[in-house]
Amino acid sequence: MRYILLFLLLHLYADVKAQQNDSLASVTVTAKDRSSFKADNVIEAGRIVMPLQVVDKKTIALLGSRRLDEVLREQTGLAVVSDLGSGNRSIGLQMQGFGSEYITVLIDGQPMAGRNNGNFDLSRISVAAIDRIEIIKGASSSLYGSEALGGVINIITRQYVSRRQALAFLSHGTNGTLDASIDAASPFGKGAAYLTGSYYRTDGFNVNPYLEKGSQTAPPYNSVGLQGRVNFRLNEVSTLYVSGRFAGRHSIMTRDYGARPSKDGLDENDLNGMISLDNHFAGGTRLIGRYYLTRYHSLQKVYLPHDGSLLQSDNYTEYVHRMEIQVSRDLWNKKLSVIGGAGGEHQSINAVSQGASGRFYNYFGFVHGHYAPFIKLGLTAGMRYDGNSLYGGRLNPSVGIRYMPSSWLMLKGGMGKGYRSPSYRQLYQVFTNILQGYTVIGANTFTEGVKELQASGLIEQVWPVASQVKDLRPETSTSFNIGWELTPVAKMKVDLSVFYNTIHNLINTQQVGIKTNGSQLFSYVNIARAYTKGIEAGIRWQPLKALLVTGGYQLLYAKDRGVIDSIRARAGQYDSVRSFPSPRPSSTSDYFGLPNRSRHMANLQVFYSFHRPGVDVSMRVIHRGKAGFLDTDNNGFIDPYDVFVKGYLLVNASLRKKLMKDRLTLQLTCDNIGNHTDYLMPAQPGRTIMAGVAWQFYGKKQNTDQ
Amino acid sequence: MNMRIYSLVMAGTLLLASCSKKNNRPEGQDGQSILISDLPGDTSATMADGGNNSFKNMYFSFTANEAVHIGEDDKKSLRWDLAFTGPYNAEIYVNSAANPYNPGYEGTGKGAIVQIDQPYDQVVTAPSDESFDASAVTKIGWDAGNGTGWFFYSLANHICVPIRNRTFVLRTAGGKYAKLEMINVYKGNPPVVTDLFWPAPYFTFRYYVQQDGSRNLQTK
Repeated sequence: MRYILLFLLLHLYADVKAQQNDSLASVTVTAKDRSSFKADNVIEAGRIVMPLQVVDKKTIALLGSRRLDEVLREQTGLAVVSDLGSGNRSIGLQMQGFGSEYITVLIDGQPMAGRNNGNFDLSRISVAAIDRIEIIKGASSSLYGSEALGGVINIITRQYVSRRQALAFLSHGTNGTLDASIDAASPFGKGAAYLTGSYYRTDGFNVNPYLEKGSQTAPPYNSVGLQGRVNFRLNEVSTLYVSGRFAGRHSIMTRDYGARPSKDGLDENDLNGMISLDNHFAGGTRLIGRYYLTRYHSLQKVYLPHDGSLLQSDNYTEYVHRMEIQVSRDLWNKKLSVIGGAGGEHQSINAVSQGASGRFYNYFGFVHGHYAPFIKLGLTAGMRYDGNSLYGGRLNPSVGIRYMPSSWLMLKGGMGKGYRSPSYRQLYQVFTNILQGYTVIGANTFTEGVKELQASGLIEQVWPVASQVKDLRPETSTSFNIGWELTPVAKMKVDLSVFYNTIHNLINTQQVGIKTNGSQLFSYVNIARAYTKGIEAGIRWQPLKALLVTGGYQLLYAKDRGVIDSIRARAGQYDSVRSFPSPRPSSTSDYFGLPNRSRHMANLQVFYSFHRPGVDVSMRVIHRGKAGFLDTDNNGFIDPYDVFVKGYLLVNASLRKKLMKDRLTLQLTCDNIGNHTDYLMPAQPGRTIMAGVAWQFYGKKQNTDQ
Repeated sequence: MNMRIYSLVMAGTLLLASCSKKNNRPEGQDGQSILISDLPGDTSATMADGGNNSFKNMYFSFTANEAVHIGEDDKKSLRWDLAFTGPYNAEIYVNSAANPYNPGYEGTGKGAIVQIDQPYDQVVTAPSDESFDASAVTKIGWDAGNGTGWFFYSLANHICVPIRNRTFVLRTAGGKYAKLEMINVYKGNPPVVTDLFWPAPYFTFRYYVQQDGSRNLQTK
């Protein structure tokens, strides 16, 4: 009993210090350390066989970033890229060459909703209440289910409240950007609670020289956010957690090229709520029951202000209700630790003009084991079954190994699978866009859909390519990763890993005919196969207590196998490149790779703390090599004669001073000091200077459970 | 500010001071050709209103070197050389009596088109009349993969991409020889369009008409 009590104590007031007694120390092992503990989730960082990178609160604070995209674009192998084909606001994260549609975004392990053609705009998330961010690279459906084909971003909100505290933060700077947040936390009786409120506004900015004054390439917006969690210990076994998050954003962007200026308005609301009951039974079994709800709503309109005519509009609502049970248990003298879980969710999507409406059930179950027969060796294996009411299901395994032959070397290897079932829209929906007049027919209902349209006299012609439209298979991915972690000298850690990801059965939109109104007729086909492979290297060196140097590099080859085959087969459009002065036959060496991917990306970060005046400085350099932008010769692939986004180097710096016994913090950040902008990167701001102030209040540390 | 920090920040600034650049592409003025920039087509029409038929034709004269108004009665005259028709006015006809889809059908125009996959400057001689008469190119529009036209349409990005190093040699309505390069349909003649709603159609193109009736199209 004392054991459990102590555990809970640790749970709530985790300021565990070294002087604590033996029994506590043993509990510490169970709970892992504070930096990786999750209050209401058994899937901890150590379970993940794919490469994991954690960005903690302290680092986020040092970077001076305010929105989630700003933090992530500084991480190795990650890029925030615009998807211009999906509209002016489409922006998403790219990881190991996987586009945003293959990266799952979670909050405390639960999926966040709301994507624009697969793109998840991370700028809608304030960093104010984030404790840390887990970045998992590679297919992870064995832990995170359908959709985690390329990677996972898991936002971990604050897990602990150790004492009464409050924080107020305000910063202001370039582009009329204002960021304010207020944060309060306190233990009470048998529980603890925190609440964070944030407000952010920006005027946006323009990096396109063809746009008139008063226009923006990145939208102006204001956003409010509220986030909190309450935990309450019901008895010696059970603790109840209730958490919630709300974020709203209002934005109107102007585009004026000197004729027919247009406005692009967006209103979005994002709600996440979770109730969980965490039980620690005598004997070490942990059982968590969770209910999660998320609702995302957005209303977007592109219109001409002079006559109010609409160019594009969408009204999108997505709901997810999810129930889940999780269990964890250590066996065999803690050499084997097992977690498992099962659950189901109901998802509904209503998208008025994207044609993506539908409602369905998903269900899943997973089991994972970690076996460490010796200290030097760890083996991880797991699997997860996911299915849904539209399509059926699939089992995804993963395996991993860690081996430490000596104190300065660790070898790691892992394999994971990813999968995504076709969506309702891709399977069954017949959708006609009112503004543009085109029609998309779901692949599994294609024959009937075409017949109906033909009967109504809407189809001019169905092309022979329509015979390729068959019942859709799920998209799948497989990731392999092998790495070394070296400690060549004290205080230096070097890691190097090789990754290889393949994706099969990618679902593409395919034009299959022409309608009588001259617009296109589309359906979906499973054709594309792609791979991304490369090397990731990192270094972390702390020669002095006050000095930390970190660096990272990613080499990436991301290619579509279909393109390579088509070039070899001299098929149709792939046959030539439009070289100067006249076109010539193509060869596979002309193929640069998937658009928007850079072969080289690198970063270097230097952090220094001047102890005496209480000043921290950081200086970061980020490089992104050239990336294909547009296939201008219509041969179906990016070749050297196409348009590229030029390679660039960004330099960011921050300066922080603490005063009055660390209660007052003054902060100055300057991002993109060189003011590098390119209109092919509409969301990359120029030089941005922000000045901020934070006031922190701490109550007394509580050493007893009331 | 602490000097050490200051010097760090300054070093970074200097390092990158020369990194920003603008993406402007000068279109060569060779002293002989005429460059027309941002000539508006029917900019008030949209595909949503009536699909392909909603754009009013726009006519251009190589004599006036500007857009001209052509009424129903003038269509069969020699008062115009190019007709910009179809969606976004992007399908271009040369005044010719021969083709039933040509606005000058059954009129007096002698127009014909030969497409050459070479840079404009390198096209120095017009081909023979037999080549013009045998040419299957009746209009200059969307190259949907058949190898004829002045622009591609990017299905991934939903934008028009003008085809580089492709020149159209023309026999004009009056029987003179000329060459034409279509450069852009988007306002401001940007090298790449980054916006689905970038205003169009605003035509940028250059041409050279050999006034002496010979086939010499040397402009450089």
